[in-house]
Amino acid sequence: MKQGIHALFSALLLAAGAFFAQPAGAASFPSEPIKLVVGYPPGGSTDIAARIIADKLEKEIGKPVLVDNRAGASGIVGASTVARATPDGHTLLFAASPEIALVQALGRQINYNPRTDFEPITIIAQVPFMLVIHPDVPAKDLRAFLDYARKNPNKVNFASYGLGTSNHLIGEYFKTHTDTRLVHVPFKGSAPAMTDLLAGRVQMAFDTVPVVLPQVESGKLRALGVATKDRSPLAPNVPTLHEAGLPDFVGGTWFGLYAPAKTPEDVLAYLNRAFVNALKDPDVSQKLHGRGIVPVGSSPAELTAFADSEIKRWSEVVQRAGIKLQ
Amino acid sequence: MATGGTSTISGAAGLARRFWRHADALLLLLLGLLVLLGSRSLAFGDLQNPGPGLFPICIAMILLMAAAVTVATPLHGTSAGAETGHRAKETLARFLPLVGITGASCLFALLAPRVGLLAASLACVLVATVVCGNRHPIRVLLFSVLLALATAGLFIEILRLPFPYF
Amino acid sequence: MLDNLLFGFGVALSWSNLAFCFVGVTAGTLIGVLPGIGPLAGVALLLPLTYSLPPIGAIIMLAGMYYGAQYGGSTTSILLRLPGDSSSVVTALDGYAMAQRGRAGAALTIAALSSFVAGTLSTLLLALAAPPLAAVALSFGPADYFSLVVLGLIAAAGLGHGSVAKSVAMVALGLLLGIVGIDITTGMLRFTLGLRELEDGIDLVSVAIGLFGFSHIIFSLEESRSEQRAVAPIHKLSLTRQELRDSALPTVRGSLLGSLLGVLPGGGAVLSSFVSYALEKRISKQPDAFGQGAAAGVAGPESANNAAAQTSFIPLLTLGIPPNAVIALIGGAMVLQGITPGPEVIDKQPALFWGVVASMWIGNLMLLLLNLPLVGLWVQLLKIPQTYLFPAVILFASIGVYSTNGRAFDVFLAAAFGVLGYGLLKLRFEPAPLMLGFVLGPLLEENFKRALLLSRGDLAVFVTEPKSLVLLGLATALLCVFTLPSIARRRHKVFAESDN
Repeated sequence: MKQGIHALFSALLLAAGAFFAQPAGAASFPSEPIKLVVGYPPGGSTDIAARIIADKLEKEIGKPVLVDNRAGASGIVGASTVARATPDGHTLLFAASPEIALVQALGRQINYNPRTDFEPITIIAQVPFMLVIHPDVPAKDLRAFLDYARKNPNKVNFASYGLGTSNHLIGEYFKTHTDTRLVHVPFKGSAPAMTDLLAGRVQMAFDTVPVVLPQVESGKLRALGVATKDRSPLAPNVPTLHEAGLPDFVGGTWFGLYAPAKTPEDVLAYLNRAFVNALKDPDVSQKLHGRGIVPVGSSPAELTAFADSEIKRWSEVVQRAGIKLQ
Repeated sequence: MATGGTSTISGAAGLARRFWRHADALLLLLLGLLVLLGSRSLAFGDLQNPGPGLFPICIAMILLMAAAVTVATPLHGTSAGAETGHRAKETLARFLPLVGITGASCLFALLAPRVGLLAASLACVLVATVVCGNRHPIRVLLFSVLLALATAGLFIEILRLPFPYF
Repeated sequence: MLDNLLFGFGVALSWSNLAFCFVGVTAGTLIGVLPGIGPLAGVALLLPLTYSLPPIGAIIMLAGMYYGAQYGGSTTSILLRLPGDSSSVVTALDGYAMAQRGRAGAALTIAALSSFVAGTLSTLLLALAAPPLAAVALSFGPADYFSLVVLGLIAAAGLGHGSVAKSVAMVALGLLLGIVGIDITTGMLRFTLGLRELEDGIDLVSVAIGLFGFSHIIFSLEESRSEQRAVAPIHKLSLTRQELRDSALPTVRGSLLGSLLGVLPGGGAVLSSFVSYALEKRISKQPDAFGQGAAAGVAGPESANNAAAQTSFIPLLTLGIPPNAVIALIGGAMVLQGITPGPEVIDKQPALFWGVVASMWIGNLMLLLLNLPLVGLWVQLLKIPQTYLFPAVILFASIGVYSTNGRAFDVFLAAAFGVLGYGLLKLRFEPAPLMLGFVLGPLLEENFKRALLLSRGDLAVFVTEPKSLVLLGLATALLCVFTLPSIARRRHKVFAESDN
């Protein structure tokens, strides 16, 4: 009897709540500051890209756009925070490849479903990798390097930011694609990897352009190519890997914008428009390009399609390389 | 704090006392065993490819060795467990600071996400002040309220911590 | 070189840059004083403010925040035995002991003065030898780094008065706590007890606050069940001549040690403070005074950690590689300003480089001028009875820990470490070595594995690499030095007893 009254009471409360808490239509959106959740610590490239865009967006929509850093477990903490957030469009996930595509490729245990817990909004940007080697390696270009690597199996070390990170996977992809035997050396992040690379203890790495460019320009590292369709405006003298001898070899990391599932359609459409416009802004574009980040700004469907293609591609790499995570 | 007093204490109590004298070594032994237990699912690996279990197992070894050394070499006179011979009533009172201080900060952590910074701070300071020996109810209350307000103000207004007051 | 420095001073002495410097160091000191909030949180807080500032001013401000926090952290270490940052843990040992004997003012003054001298010396080193120091950092391979950490850990084990074996056990426990979380080579979870919150490891702040702060408060309460003053009445504020003399050379040694170790990635500052303490204790004519309030025990580590804080900018400004998380943040701020940290910064942005270097010295001067008069104020704080002071500390600490990651779990963890620390203190373990093990544990393991990976499984690499050989040799020697006297002493005792 008591339980019955309890249930009735709760039902009434719920109904009352639902009645009063109506979803905000596009007319009243945004009604409070927008939070861009970034699953990485401040100062990293994801964070920087988010801040550059947030800055511009704030001016456009007139409401504060804040970056909320929730670093942990390669972006997973940030993603799971947004998966559980209120789907009113005020909390968004400024995601990078690892928490959406790589987790699926690697089969990692996560408490959210990248496919069903999020609504795609737009592809924010591509961040292509550049292939660099230490100058002591006796190879002046890609072909010579492949030659050297094939003649010296298991001699060349390549650096990555850790097991299952994007530059690890692209390195494995490179290995199978070029039929070379390289030894993978994982590091905890960019700084220690760069230290050993500069010192010559590891000889090769894939990394984003702005990270390696200063070293290339001062001659401390040698660039073999960029993994994009077109040459990077930051390094016009560096050929694409396609030109250098690896047809269609592209890869890097990317950023995408997501909202929690069940966010209203009109809110999503608004956000898509707002972000695409911000990405087209010449000032934003220049700042991002200067950071080796290529702004995109696509439709939601394109984001889903792209993410799916990434998942497929890297799943194959993971399987071939035999990478197993717990 | 006598070193030679064990012979005068009767059988079982004396044995217990000798046992607890080495409480420090026992702790190390326990820790070492726990680490070994926790690493049973971790591969030791080999030299070419050291596994995740290598380090923990070495740590366990160090802990166990330290336990052995500690038992074999008691420090000049005062041994670790020497203060365990108190009466029950005193023991209870002795644990008040431990429970109280731990409780105060846990209380804060429990309440803060639910009722905001002010209420959580108030609760924390109330408990802590009482535990720290203050018995005047008015002073305790006044101090707690003032401190909670001031601290919340400092952290939210001046340091811009993303915290709701309530 | 001199004209570069002068040029740098010209840049740094503009009114706006001076103002930025002042804001940075003051904010840094305040942040450092608050338990639980360290330079990382402080820099992260200031970061958004720097977007609209000119680049040089922004970096000057953030840098000021970083080394300013070191000054503030020492203050709480000395007054409340609550380390503001992992590198102030050692200061708490003798600094607090000095405060207990009524020499709080002297301790604070020594800390400020030695930090200033260290700041001056390391700024000079920065100006003279930034690229060579960076080259040294690069030349440290994984085997070398491993051996350095081993040396540091053995040194830490000799810190306390008690048994070396127990301190080594503390180091080992610290190592264990440090590796809790995901193993980067295999992705496996270790010792996380099934808790999602532990997957990224245990937060440093929880350990520092719980192990040193909470446990100490509990312990003190147990000892004194009455409304006592937290500390003995203050004698004189000023230093005695003896204390000054005792601090002079340790300051110089600490500065050199800190300057060298600060450039190394990872735990440069922490390592240097521990090694400095151990060194001073070894060299001292009164090693037993350490732990009871030896001036050298404050001067050495304080100068070491301040010097290290400054030279840790070298890898960022010369190579573009940040040696720790705070510097990485500052590097990020530079990027946001459009400056890419890298080998070209010295040449292409001389105003930035030399301006920041010069501002470091100015900042240190400002800190000295700020902190010295404040000593009197801080010391007044100690007159507050325990029953009011402790709750305030507990509240501040709890908020501080909570705000690091915005989760309650960290506070629970800190409370748990409080219980652990209390237990350790009761059983006469020295918790300080645990801290070093905790900070350096992951580095130790990582470098060990990487050394083996690069040598393709050849263990000999640890003795064939010259630096590694030397460091391991020193570590072994140190271990012998620690254990042999106690064996000799025990023999003495046995002989003495057998004579009776």
